[in-house]
This record gives sequence, structure tokens and C-alpha cells, in this order.
Amino acid sequence: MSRLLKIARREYLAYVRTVGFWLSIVALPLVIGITALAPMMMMKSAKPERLAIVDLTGQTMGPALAKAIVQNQNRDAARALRAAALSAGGPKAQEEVRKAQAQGGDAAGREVLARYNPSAAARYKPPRAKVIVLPPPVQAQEAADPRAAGLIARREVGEKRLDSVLILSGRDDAIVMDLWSRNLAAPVLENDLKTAVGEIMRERALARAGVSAQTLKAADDLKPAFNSLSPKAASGEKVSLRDRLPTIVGFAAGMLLWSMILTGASILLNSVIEEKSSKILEVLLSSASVPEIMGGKILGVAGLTLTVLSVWAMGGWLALLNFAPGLAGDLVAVLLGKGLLFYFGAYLVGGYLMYAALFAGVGAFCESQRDAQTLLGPIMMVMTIPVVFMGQAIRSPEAPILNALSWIPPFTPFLMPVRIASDPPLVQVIGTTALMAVTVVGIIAFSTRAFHVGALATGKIDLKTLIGLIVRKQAG
Amino acid sequence: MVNAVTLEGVSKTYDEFHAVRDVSFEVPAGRITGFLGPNGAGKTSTIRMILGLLPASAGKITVLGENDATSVRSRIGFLPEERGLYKRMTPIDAIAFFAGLKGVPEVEGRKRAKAMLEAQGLGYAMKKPIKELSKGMAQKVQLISALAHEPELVVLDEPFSGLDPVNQQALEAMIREIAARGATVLFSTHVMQHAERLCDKVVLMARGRKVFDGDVATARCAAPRALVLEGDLSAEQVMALPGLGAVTSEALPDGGWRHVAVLSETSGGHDALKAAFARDLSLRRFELKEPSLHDAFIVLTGGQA
Repeated sequence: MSRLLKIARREYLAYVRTVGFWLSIVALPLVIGITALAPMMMMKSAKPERLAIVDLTGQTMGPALAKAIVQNQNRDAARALRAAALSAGGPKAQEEVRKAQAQGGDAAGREVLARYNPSAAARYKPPRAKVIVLPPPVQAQEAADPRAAGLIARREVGEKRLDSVLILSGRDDAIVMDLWSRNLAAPVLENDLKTAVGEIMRERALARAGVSAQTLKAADDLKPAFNSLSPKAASGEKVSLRDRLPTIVGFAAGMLLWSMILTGASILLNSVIEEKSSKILEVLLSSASVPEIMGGKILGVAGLTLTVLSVWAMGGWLALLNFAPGLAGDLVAVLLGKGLLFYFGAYLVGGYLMYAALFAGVGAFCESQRDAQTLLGPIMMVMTIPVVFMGQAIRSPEAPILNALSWIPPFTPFLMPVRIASDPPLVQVIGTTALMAVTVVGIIAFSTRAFHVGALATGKIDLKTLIGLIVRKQAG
Repeated sequence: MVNAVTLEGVSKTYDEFHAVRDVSFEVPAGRITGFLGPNGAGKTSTIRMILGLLPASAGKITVLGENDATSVRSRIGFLPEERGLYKRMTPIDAIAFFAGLKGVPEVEGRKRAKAMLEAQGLGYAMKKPIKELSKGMAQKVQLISALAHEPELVVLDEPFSGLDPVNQQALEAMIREIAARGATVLFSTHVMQHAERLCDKVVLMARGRKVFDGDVATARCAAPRALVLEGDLSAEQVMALPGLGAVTSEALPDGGWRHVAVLSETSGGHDALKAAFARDLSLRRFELKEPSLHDAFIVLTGGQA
């Protein structure tokens, strides 16, 4: 085994054998998972709101509202089933489920889902009802005015027999809603109830103006037929989710590459600082050449980065297969079909080499994290620029500013993965990649020299001195 | 090969600062050579140039018959002045790793590491993280790391610094063992007693220049012999004795004085003693003091130590 590989192996094992490394691998997906699942879990675990409607309008506003609440909940359930169909079987399954729901309700929709993905259909649970409408307290319903009804509502809510009581009063265009609730900060139902009552008031106002219920429904159902078309679509015209997926994947890859490169380069920096501060670098220099030491360290940390990436990719893949197999198929097709995987790999390697070599070279001058912060501050500021523009690349990947920034080599590994999905001109792909490759070679040469000078240098070094030491022609 | 290392007119300049100026010397193969000098004399720069870590600004260096020391890295063992090891590694892993970089297969490296650690009484600690070892133990581990590949040339930069007297003695024994198996040892120090006990040859540096190159006995000759006289006699009375040069005096705790008088080159001290007895000076004790390497060092470096 060559010295380079021995150094790489030591570097890899030194981190991989620590508990902290595996905790850090688990930490990010765990945080993402908790962030994504927490609202859903909270919603699922929340008890339905026990609501009573006291109708003092004399216009059957209460029963109409209760009916609207049930209809809204049914619509939420139907939407959830279609979302499950999309992730489990793709857009086609979603469309089939929609048609089945229209003809035979949710039961028919579930049958269709079962045909596409039996396990997803078996796993599917309709969302829990947010509200249960209970009969109002008799005394409140018989109260002479909203104030008297309010006293009863206050008692019922205060003594936890009900979670909320809605008192409807007034008439026609001047309905008043008094909502008594235990939740002071944000009554859960407030917005839903306001919308539903507003709808009923609108329907009735139009009815009074002579618009029939059928006409109103027909008017509400009016929607233009919309077709999203593009010559870049796989079908040649109609744009599907799969056509949009590359841009989303490109954005995700850009962010992933950014975090992986930064993580890898930071690990490398810490490793070099540790060796410099504990005086190991000088012993290493007497045992191996600078390219062997730097190459070994860069390779070892690349192994770590790939381990992290592999674990995350495997975890993500298993999650996709389990929860959204339709999307998993599309993802593979996108990654392989447009060669995105190759481009992402090339930009990962280029970006990693560029920043890892730079961080290693700078690290050789640092005996502590504080020294490193002084020297790396400007580099870190530069590294945040592509992140700002990555989101922009989803909406307008051909924006002139993105085009220009892609030609700046330190940004290329982050911005080009995002843009590559939208098929930028070949000259841009080749040109930016070639420029990046040349820069990588230049930075490796510069950092190798810096590493050698830094490894034997002592004392505190600022950025100006560092550049002077490296650029200066050594007398020897 | 007569000399393991040869330097011919070697200089090292950092900007305007001349760290090493026109230095030439040889390190004989199979011998222990001490590289002496006060702090800042240019020892570490010279060692780094010998090892190929720094390029020389001028001159020629030959190491183990090669002009480029990096081409014979695997035949050299090096212990730097400021020492460090991977703190989370175990001694056996660290030694095998560094031996591996010098071309020793891993299994063999681990075997040698185990044997050497046991020989140094560190067998019980071979699988403990280095951060749990004492400073002396860690230094032994590092020295073993520099030796496990059985180098022909061993370069030790201030190997005794930071060690307690017991570990210093153990290190001296290790250096003798290295030389006994035929390896060349070059070590730097500013503590003359170690060099005096160990070295076949010494090279003295001061202000970037070589000020002496030869065996210990010759080095001692650089400093004059002295006559020590103790009793109730004054410095003036001592200075009036024949064959004596400069005199330094100190009061003794139980009364009287201790005078150290430098003997002139031609004097053996007899004339001065005869005259002292003839003048009936009150003399309680006298001693002819041979110069130590430390004395020579002071003279040769101009009192920089």
C-alpha cells in the first residue's frame, strides 16, 4: 500500500471509529425527519375540537354551517387519499383515484389505490376530523340575546364540557360570530369558521338577488382547462411532474453538494489543525512527500464524505421505496436518463478537491480554530453566495446573473448542478467545467506549496503574511 | 560509506535573516554525533535541511550517499524538537502507522511495536489511547515510532527536553542501543552533560555558524584548565601567584574564599602552588580542574548558552 493510501486509511479510520461521526450522520436526517413529521404527528395526535353552534339568527345558519364543516372535512379526506395515490403510484394513480372518487366516493378511490399499491392502500388512514359538532346547550339556544348565550357558552367552555362554542346572531348581511374557545392564542377553528359562514352568507345574498342554487354551483364549478406545455417536456408538449423533477433534483443536489463539500473540507481543516498543533505534521513530512500527505488526507476525508452520502442516500432511497415508490421510479429515471448522476459526481469531485485542498493548505498555518476563523472568514463569505442564488435557479435557471456566476469557478460546483437539469447550452457546460478543472489544478498546486510552508511555520499568521509566505520565492 | 551525512558550505536564509551560514561538517557512519549550540544557533534549520524538509539556500548536503534526503526517507528515523502523536491512537497503532510510512508491512510493524514497547516497559499501555499516557511515556512511544523501521540514520532534535532525570537516563540507554546495532545517531541538544556522556563527536553551532567540529576531548581543550584554591586568602594574593590568569572568587558559607584561577597555557599549576606554600598563605584545599564540555561550550559560543 502506498504512503498516500496509508495516510488516507488512517484519516478515514480515525473519524469513522468515533461515536461522534455516526451521531453526526444520524443527526441531520433525524432533524429533517422531525421537522417534516412533527406537524403531521401533532395533527394526528390532536383531539377533535368539540364545537357547539348556538344559532340565534332564526335563519337556520347553524345547521347550514354544521353541514359545511362536514363537507370540508370530507374534501380534506379526499385530498389526502389523492396525495397518497400520487406518492405511492405517481400522477396516473392520482388521476384514477380522483375519477373513482367522483363516481363512487372515497371507498371507490381506495379500491383504485389498492390496485396500484396494495400496501399503501392498507397503510392509508384518512385524516382525523378536526371538529365534532355537538348539540348546543339548551339554555344557550333559548337565550334571549348573544350576551345571555355567551354567559352559558363561557361556563361550558370554562368547565371543559366543550372546547368551543360559536354563537351566531344578526341577520342576512350582518351576521355576527362570537366564538368562545379555550385556546387564547389562536382559536383553532377561527379561520375555517369565518370562511364557511362567509360562503353561506354569499350564497344566501345571491339567492335573495335571484340567483338560483344550481346557477351558483355551476358558476363556482367554472374552471378554465389549463395545459402546461413545453418543447422540453418528455412528451414534446405536455409538462408532467417528471419533467419538473430534474430542476427540483438539481436544486436538492446543489444544496447537498454544498453541505457535503463544506462538511468534508471542514473535517479536513480540523484534521490538519490537530496535526499542526500537536506537531505531527513535521514527523509526517519526514516520512512522506507533501503531495502524498495532502492527497492521503483529501482521499481519506473524501471516503468519509462518501460514507455519509451513501448512508443518507440509502436511507432516503429506502424511505422513498417505502412511502413513495412512484416517485422513486421517476427519480431514478431522471438521474440516469439525463445523465444528472454523472454531472453531480463530476461537480462533487471538482468542488470537493477545490475546497478541500484550499482548506488543507490554510489549515497548515493554523494552530487553533481561532487562527482558522481569521484566515477562512473571507472564503466562507464567498461560499455563501451560491446558496443565495440556488433558489433563484429553480424559477429561472437561464437568468443572466446565474449564467455569469456559473462561470466563476468557486461557484460552478454548486450552481451548475441546479442549472444542468434545465439543459443549459453545451458550451456553458463544457466551458464552466473546464474552467473549474483548471482552477482545481491551480488551487492544488497553490495549496501544496502553502501546506509545506505552513507545516513548518510557527507563530500567528494573518492572511497577508500567509500569502506573502506562499508567493515569495524562497531563498533555498 | 564513511560518513552518513556530509554538509559542504551549507547556508539557509529567510528573507534578510541568515539562520545558517556556510556550515560544513560530517556525521561519521555508525557513531553518535552531538549537534550542540544555544537556542537560535541554527540547529533545527540545519536538521530540517539534512532531512530535506527545507531546501538549503546554498551548499551541498549528502545523506546516506544521496544528494536528496527525501529519496532515502525510509532509511532515516526522525524525532522532532516539538513532539506530538495522534492522541486518540493507541501506541501500537501509532508505531505501526509511522513504520508503515517507512515501508514496514503492517503485520511486521505491529510485531516490532509490541516488542519495542515491551522492552521499554510499556507493554501494559500498548492499547491505551496515547492521550492517557504520561508525557515521558508518550515521548518514548514517539521515539519508538522513529526507530521501529530500523533506520540507518537516526536524527533526534533535542530528545532530552521535557524529560525527568529517570527518563533522560533511559533515553541515553536507548541511544546507546541504537548505536550498538550499527546505526548512526545525530542528536541536537544544549545540555552538554548528555553530549559528554554519549558522543563520539560533537559539532558546535553559534549564531548560525559552526564553531567547533571534533571529538569531545578536543572540544574540552578549547577551554583552559583552572586551579581551585580555598582558604583565608584574598583574590589579590591569588592573582599575585605565577602562571595564573583571570580569577573568579566566591565567599564560602563557613568563612574564607573559593578562588578559581585560569591556568596559563604553559602552566601546570605547580608554580602557583609552590609559591602559595612559600608565601605561607592560609590554604585549606586546592584542586586542579579539567575543563568540561560545558566550559568549552561557553568559550566557543562566546558565552551565549
